[in-house]
Order: sequence, then structure tokens, then C-alpha cells
Amino acid sequence: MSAAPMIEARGVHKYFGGVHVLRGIDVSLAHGEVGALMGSSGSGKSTFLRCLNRIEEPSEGQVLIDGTVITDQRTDVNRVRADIGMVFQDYNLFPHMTALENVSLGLIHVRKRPRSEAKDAAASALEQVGLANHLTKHPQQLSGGQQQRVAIARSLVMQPKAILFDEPTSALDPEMVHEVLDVMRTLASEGMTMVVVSHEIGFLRKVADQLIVFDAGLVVERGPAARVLDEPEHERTREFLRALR
Amino acid sequence: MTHALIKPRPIPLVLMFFASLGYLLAAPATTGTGVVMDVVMTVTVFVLFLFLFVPMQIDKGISDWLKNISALALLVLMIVTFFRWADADWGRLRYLFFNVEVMSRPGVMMRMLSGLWIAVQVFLFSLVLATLLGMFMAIVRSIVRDALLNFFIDMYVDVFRSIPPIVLLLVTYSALPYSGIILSPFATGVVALTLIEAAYLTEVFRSGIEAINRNQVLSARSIGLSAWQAMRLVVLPQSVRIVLPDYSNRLIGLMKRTAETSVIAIAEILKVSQDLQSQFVNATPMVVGALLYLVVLFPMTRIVSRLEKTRPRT
Repeated sequence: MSAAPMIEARGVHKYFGGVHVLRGIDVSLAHGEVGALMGSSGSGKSTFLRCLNRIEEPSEGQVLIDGTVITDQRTDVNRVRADIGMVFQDYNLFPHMTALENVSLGLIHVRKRPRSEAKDAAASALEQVGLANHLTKHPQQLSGGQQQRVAIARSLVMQPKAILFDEPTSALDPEMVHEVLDVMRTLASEGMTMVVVSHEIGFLRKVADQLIVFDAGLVVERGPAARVLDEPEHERTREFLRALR
Repeated sequence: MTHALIKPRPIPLVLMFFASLGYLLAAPATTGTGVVMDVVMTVTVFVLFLFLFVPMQIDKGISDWLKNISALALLVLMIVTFFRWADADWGRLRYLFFNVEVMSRPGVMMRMLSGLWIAVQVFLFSLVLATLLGMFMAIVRSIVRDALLNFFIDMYVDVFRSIPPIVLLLVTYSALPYSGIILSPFATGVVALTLIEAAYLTEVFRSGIEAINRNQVLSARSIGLSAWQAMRLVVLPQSVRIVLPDYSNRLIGLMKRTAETSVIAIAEILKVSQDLQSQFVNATPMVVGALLYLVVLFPMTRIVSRLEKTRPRT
């Protein structure tokens, strides 16, 4: 294992027009670490997450993936993104494709793998998330939980260095939340580096190594999940956790 | 009480209807009483229309067959009335507009059909070129988010949507030779129609691209697809279904607009019809020309109506 952190953000700022959304964020996650971002809506956590694969362009500061500066304008951003998975709140599967086509798309067109090989890899990724029986279904034939697992398989199949999760369970019905969290838990235990925006306290307590609390574009508190959840130091963290219960 | 007014009384009115129909068919209109009776019966037709037909279409309590019969009967009655009252010269009408002899002269139908073929060629060439150009501009506009480039595309679209096709045709046809560009009338027609159609199609395709949720693009980009790949593999396949009804409507419009190329002497349907009309001093070719348009466009229109019913929700 190399010494450089897998994901590192140095002084990341983001302006939307005149609005200062991120006001200097520093985050560092080692290989295999799970970082959780919390904070009320508008606190900047999702914007920060999107800066990590430059789906949102940081206005200032650096993002390093596995020791490489990706915020450099010369970086091939498509290659960077292929190495970082991303899972969205509302799944964002491609509705005109089957589950298998959704998952194999990146392998075929980004990794330039032969079609048959890509389909095999996609099938095994879908099997990994428990959807071996749904390969030929279209997203609208799948439940929310199943769609989100396809989305995870779509990231997974690229063999990414890390996966970013943007509120992966908040659009799901309660009974489907656990099936997605189970997959994420397995991933974490297999050593996947993950950054998760989530408010699933029970899940974070077990899985997150670092809990990072955002407020108004700043990190107000960070530390081991259990410590932050049980003995929050910052007033905003306490207020936020109280509101969650 | 408006309700009382529109309450249909089918049976007495149906009887009245048949009485007036019988009279209109039988009575001579030349005598004084005949004319008076005609006026009375014609008024009756419109009274029947108001008090029988209209309420019958509104009232759900009346069976469908009765509605259909009443509608058909009324139509017959109106036609009969027209025939009795119109100062028509049927023989002359038939000679000038439905003259089989003129159409069966050697080469006439061949010229009409070659006109159809040329119209279809103008249509197909302009359609393919305008589709490519419109698609290109719509894609560039949404991928290259460059302010200056977008401004030029927007200007192009708005300028060419503001020019009547027939004017552009005449201007390009007469002006191009002076700029050293010598094009055949056919090529000039295709170019002019393409320029205008491309402007409209840019808007059609752009609306289709913009109808796709931005998250679809983000999601595609996040697995490493380039902007162009995201457009080609994710956005466009979804846009096509949304755009299809609008696109087909433009397509029908374009086929109709090929008639306007007759002003620059392209020998398409309208031009050929006009030439034959003056040659034979007979309007039958024009009627046949109208029928040729109908033969091509009616099925197209039917298909588009179907498409519109199955338009996917966005």
C-alpha cells in the first residue's frame, strides 16, 4: 500500500456565481477508508463530493486521487472519472438500456473492452450485488433498491479506486434501504475506499472510519464515527444529530 | 331556460327531416310556390341542424346510431339543398377540372409523375441535409457551451426562421449567379429549403436534448464517458423518441414546401401542373397535382397522428 492517501482535498473552494458554497475544505482518506459526510441541506457536502471527480469543477484548491493531482487542467478528466465510481441519490440509470447494458456501457466505451468480455464482467458485477436474475430488465421494471444496486454495479464493474455515494438511500422506501446498505457494507469490508453522503446513523456508526460534519461550506467537526455521534463537540453537530432523531 | 331550448325531440324532428328531404327532391323550384317552398325548406335544414343535430351530439342519453344517422341525413339534406340552389354549370366544371381526355393525352401522366419524383427528390435531399445540419448545430450548442458559438447558432436559427421560404428561393436563385456560384435550379432549391429547415430542426432537436434530465449526463460523465459519448449513447437515444412527433410534423411541412420551388422553375408537381394547365387551357392537371400531394402526404399525416398519440411523457 502506497503512502499517499487515496483521496485528498486541499483547500477546496467553490463559488456558484457570487455564492461561496465551499470555503476551504481539507479532507484526507487513506486506502480502504470510509469517509462519511454529514450536514444539513445546503451545507456543501454534496457539492464537495461532486468536486472529488470534477463533475463539479472546484473554483480553488486541489484534489488528489492516489497521489495524482486531478484538478490540473491537463488531466484527462474522463480517465479520472473512470477510476472513481459515483452513485447518485436518484440512481440515474439509463432508461433505454437493460441492467446489463447499463453496467457494461463504461467497459465498452471507456475501457474499450470487447463487447462479450464486457458483458461477462457486467453480469458478474450484477451478481455481486444480488441481481443475477435481472440482467435483461430495464430500470423501470426494477424496484428503487434494485435500481440503486445496478448503479453500484455500474461503478463497481470499472474496478474503481474509490466510490462516491451521494445520499444513496434517501430516495428509497424504508424496506429497500437495507439491501443497498448491505451491499455498501460488503464493499467497505472488502477494502473499497468510499466517500458517503448519508444520514443513516446506524450504518455510519458501523462502517465509517471518519465522520466529517459540514456546515455553511466549512468542516465544523471530524473524527471517528462513534466519537462524533456519541460525543459531538460542536454545537451545529449536536443540533443536527438532535434533528435526525 | 336554455335546457328546454336544446332538449332534443328526435321523433317529430326526424319526421320533419324526411318530409323536407322528399320535398326538395320532388318539387320543381321554377314556379313561384316552388321557390317559396324551397326557402322554407332550406330554413328548415338549418333549424333541424340547430335543434336536432347539435343537441344530439351533446346529449349522452341518445344512442350512437341515432346520432350517426342524424348526422349523415343532415349532410345529405345540405348537399341536396346546395344542388338545388347553386347556380352550377356542371358540364363546364367537369370539362375544365375533371377532364379525363386531357390527362390521357400522350406524355401527360408521365410528366405529372416525373414532377412527383422530382418533388420527392427535393424533399429527400433537403430532409437529409437539414437533419444533419440541424442535429449538428443542436449538439454543438449543448456540448460546446461557448457563448460566441451559441450566439451564432441562435442568430442562424432566428434569421432563417424569419424568412419566408419562397422569398429565400427567389433571392438565392437570382443572386447566386452574380456571386460566381452557378447552381442548377434543383440544387438552389435544395440549398434554400435546407437552410430554412435546418433552422427549425435545430430547435426541434435542441428541445429534445434539453428534455433529458441533466442528471443523465452527469451520470454518464461520472463513469468516464466523454461529452460526445454521453450525447451519443445516453442523451440522443432518449431524445429521439421525444422528438419524433415534432420531427415528423416538420417532415410533412417540408414535403408541402417543395411546391414553392416551382417559382424557380424546378419541374416538380406544381410547376408541371401549371405548365400543362396553360398548354391545354384546362385545370385538370392541377387537380391531379393536388391528388398526387394527397397520395404522398395523407399516409404520412396518418402515421404522424399515431406517433403523437404514443408520445412518451417527459
